[in-house]
Amino acid sequence: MQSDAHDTDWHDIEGSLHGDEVAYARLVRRYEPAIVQQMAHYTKDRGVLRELVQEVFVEAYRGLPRYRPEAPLLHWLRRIASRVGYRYWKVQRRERERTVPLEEWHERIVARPPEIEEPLEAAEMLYDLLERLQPKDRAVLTLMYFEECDVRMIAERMGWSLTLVKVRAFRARQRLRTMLQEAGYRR
Amino acid sequence: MNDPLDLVDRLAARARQHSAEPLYVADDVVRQLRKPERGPLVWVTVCAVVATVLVFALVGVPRTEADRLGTFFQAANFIRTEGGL
Repeated sequence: MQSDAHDTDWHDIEGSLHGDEVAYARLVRRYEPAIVQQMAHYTKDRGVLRELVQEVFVEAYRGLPRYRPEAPLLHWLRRIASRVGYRYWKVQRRERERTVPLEEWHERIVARPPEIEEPLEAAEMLYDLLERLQPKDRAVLTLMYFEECDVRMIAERMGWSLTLVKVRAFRARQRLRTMLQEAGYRR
Repeated sequence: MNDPLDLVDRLAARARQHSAEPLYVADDVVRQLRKPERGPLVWVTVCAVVATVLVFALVGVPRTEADRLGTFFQAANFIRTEGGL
């Protein structure tokens, strides 16, 4: 089954490499649900989300000659997506102004613990919390929390060493803990 | 007091159950791929900048050096060259 999918991908990749737009559109349609789901962790804005997903596939197309079929195409696309998202945060960080104060966020979580949150609300609250971190910390924790990536997977996605990921994950969680304690965490 | 990160872990577990609304980008991607990666105007600008830098590097800098040396020797007129000039 997996091999069939791999063969279909490979057929479309070869077509795309020879300039067959229809073949590439087929690849995009096959993987866009997974990439949309992943990129939704990088922005809440639907317009920006659309742009980011497009950027992932445009970048993938241009990098297609470098793709090696040893790993599934989705892994390779996810790697590109993680870097596109991280890059977006780095640019956005310079322009952004924070809206919700952390104390307010904390009040909300105390009033409605995660168990009774709707998944969408929980995702937005987690997004709002992680948004307060530096892009590199946010990238590590987004992959950990939203996508359940382990250290090895994060290293692979971001192109960082295992040691660097371990250190960043440890420090990022430490910062998150301090941030919540300072906001009056008392549960 | 509990670790605040337990709260985050629970929030994350709940957040993972959320699936994003679908988005369809295939046609836009194909349209975008048809556009040239860099427009001709960009290349013309890049070439003009490179040419200017080259001109300055090859012509501008030695002249400036010579002028600077000339000014130096004019100011330091006590230095005599071998011919006594």
